[in-house]
Amino acid sequence: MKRPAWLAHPLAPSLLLFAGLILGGFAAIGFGWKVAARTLVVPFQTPALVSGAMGGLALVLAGAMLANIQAGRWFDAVERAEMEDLLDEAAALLDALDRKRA
Amino acid sequence: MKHTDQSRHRFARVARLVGAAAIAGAAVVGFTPVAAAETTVTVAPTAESWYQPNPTCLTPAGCVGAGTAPAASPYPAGTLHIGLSAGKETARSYAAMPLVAVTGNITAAALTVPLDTNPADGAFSSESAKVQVCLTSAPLAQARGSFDPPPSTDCSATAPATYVAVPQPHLEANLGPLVDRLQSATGVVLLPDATASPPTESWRVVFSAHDASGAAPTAPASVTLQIQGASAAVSASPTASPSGPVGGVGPIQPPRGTGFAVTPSTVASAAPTAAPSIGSVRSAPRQIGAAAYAYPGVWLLPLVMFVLVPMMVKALTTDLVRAGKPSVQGPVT
Repeated sequence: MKRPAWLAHPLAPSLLLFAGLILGGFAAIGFGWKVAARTLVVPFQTPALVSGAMGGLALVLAGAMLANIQAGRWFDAVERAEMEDLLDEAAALLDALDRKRA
Repeated sequence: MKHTDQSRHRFARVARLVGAAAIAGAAVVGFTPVAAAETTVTVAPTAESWYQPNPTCLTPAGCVGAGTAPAASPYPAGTLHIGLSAGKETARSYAAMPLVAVTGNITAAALTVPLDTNPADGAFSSESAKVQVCLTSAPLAQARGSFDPPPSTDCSATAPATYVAVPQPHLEANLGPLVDRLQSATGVVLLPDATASPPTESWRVVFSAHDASGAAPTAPASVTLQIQGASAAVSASPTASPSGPVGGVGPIQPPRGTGFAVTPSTVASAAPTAAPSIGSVRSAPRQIGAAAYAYPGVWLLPLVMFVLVPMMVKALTTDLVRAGKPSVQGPVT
């Protein structure tokens, strides 16, 4: 079974993981709301809101922050690779010039 | 070297298998307890009483002591009254409910009072009644139009009862504001809400006691409880029976805040076959903490964290240059 091409991207697994965290956070918020809405008793609503809403918010923020960090790492890596390519080409140019002078 | 790599891969595979087995095992263990379900139970009164203001209190001599004024009720036996005359209370009713025997956590409650609108029984202008529901924790005894001081009431939280004409005239009250005190109450009190009525208004609503034996008694008042917790409501009423809804008004639906409300899984009804004394109800043993853990899935969280954290650490420390030569278009193949 062949994996889709976009899955071969080195960022794909980690971004999928972080997207899962964000989705889990939204699911926790929805679940907390569901539990809180089906009762009028504040002592039952409070833990649902604390665990669901705050826990869910924490998951969403963590997922978004980690995805942002990972994207930053990727763009830094791209920049480094391009810089290395540039340096390689410059070195090759210098070598070619040296060979011509000799 | 190659042999070492193979051993490492084999070890990693075994570790993953053990982790998966641990998660599956935890799921089995965690979900074994029965999840707490919400059940709906209807509780019928075990005793009722109604009181009217002592008329001697209006005389200059002041109130005659309790018990000396004869109770005089021109109304049929088995009828209970709530009344307002020219903005002043003329009658209030008490219904003893075995709420202290309810186990589990009450999440919602509603009161239904089928009304007797027969003028011969005392009812008039029932449709304009403004009744409020309070709780009482005082011992309740049978009384019929007593002039004695009524049992104390706790009206720090009240629930308004509204008149509903169809299918049969009845009062409905969402006991949401009282729900956290229900299990410490001996009964509910229905009294006129003088603040919601103009000072010239007069009305009287009549309903039947559970043991009424008149010509055409209506169904008694009932409280429908929505209870969270496994096997929660079994002892809600000492006379619980699996019969249909009380009276002719059909089952009342518990109040629902949003569309997410859980549909009641079972509906039981309390048929008032025997009327135990309030004292026996108050001394009934009360089960505490019998409910299973409501969300056993939470037990999986440590294992989920156990899997997620290494995955995140690996994702954030993987050398992206080695994973694939980075370029804006993706890895170079």
